[in-house]
Amino acid sequence: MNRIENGQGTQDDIDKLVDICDNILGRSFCALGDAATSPITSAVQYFREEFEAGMHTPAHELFPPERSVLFDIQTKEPSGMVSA
Amino acid sequence: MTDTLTPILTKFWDDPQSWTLATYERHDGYKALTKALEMEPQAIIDAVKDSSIRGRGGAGFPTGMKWSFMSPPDGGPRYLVVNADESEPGTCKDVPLMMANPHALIEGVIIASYAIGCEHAFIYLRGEVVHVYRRLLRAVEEARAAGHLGTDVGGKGVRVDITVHAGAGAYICGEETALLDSLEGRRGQPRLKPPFPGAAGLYARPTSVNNVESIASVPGIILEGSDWFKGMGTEKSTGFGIFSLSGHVTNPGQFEAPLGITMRELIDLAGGMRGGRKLKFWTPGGSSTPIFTEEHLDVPLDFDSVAAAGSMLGTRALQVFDETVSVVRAVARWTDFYAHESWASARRAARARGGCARS
Ligand SMILES: Cc1cc2nc3c(=O)[nH]c(=O)nc-3n(C[C@H](O)[C@H](O)[C@H](O)COP(=O)(O)O)c2cc1C
Ligand code: SF4
Repeated sequence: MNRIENGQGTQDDIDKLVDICDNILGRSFCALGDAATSPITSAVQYFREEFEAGMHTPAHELFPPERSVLFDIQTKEPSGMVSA
Repeated sequence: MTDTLTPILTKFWDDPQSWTLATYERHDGYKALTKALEMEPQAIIDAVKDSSIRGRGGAGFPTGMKWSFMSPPDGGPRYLVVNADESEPGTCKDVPLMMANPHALIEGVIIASYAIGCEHAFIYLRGEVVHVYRRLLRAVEEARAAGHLGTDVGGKGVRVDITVHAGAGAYICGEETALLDSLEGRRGQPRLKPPFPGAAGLYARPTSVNNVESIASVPGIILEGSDWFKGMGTEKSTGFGIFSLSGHVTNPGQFEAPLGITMRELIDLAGGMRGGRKLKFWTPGGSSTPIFTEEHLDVPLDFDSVAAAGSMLGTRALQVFDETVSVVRAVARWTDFYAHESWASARRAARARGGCARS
């Protein structure tokens, strides 16, 4: 997960992530195991391309956090930004 | 569209000092208790069953059914434990409810205790919320002074007392069996089920664990009747619930509405998306429920419709994320949370392996 967030993921990472979730789902001792898999599985389902982008571009470049705020921040020229 | 709200538990949150007994009494407080004490305990369970209210703590198990599944009385103690651990990311309904209207919970606890034959009820609160702890302690004190608690409740010889317990604040202690372990003074770890708490729960005695909002909804059901309750919501998800909107909407907050309302309506009620931005994804029931996107805006937010659409109604914690947010980053933070809060993660650190929630 962290590798993908940092733009250093591999195709294997995404598959492995989904695979691990598959393995946990329904098999953990309490429902926390299932709970932990839900956001991952569903996010890959709806936004797979964003996970794939994590193979080369860090999340903070794809989605600079300062764009989520409502007030103006003077930032330097956004570099390497790819539109979502 | 704005008449879709049904303020019941939230009705007088904006009164000055909404949390006092005097305010609660001005809003029909403790009338349901008076009525309940005239009823047979079984009749209360039947009324709650008939209302078809489903647990508000996440899983949606029918509350009345849970009570009737408890092992029959054998002369020994029976317990009601209120789950006030509220720790699912995004979930923020129980804490404001206990802050603004603690007596709704207390009255619900007394009625439920009478119904299931419990003389000593517990409210298990997450320890970080010291302000809520103080508020609950004060509310219990007020209720006791008014004769609603103690050895002769309402002059009817009914015994009910409440202990408010502050837990240490661990996500896993919201899971009902881990909560019971924690309440018994041990480290909160889930127990193997069966036995279910209804057979052997707190101190191995029959116990019902119910969410704050489930219990706080009971006085309304008793006072107004189960048909009143069923008049709201959908056929299989009756009644109202508090929907907590957080994140990128103009006016985040608590919206008490019938189950089955849609996210589109709720976002409208919250003044639309913040800054006119576009919705990207949202959680229907907290971060442990599969996320939804724009295409799910018209899914009725009731237990079955949300499940049919591939997620869970959970705790109605609607976290809204706009187009500027990286879904990868959001999921990575949630995953950090679950990895940290899995009790096995502590052992994993020690043994470098073991535990089911590795991610
Ligand atoms: C990991 C985990 C955490 C939970 N946290 C809470 C919580 O904070 N509050 C809560 O009411 N229920 C929580 N639950 C659900 C409880 O186990 C239980 O189902 C619920 O308290 C029953 O109440 P209800 O029938 O009124 O919904 C959690 C479950 C799991 C598996
Ligand atoms: S390791 Fe995780 S899934 Fe297993 S019992 Fe503990 S919290 Fe639940």
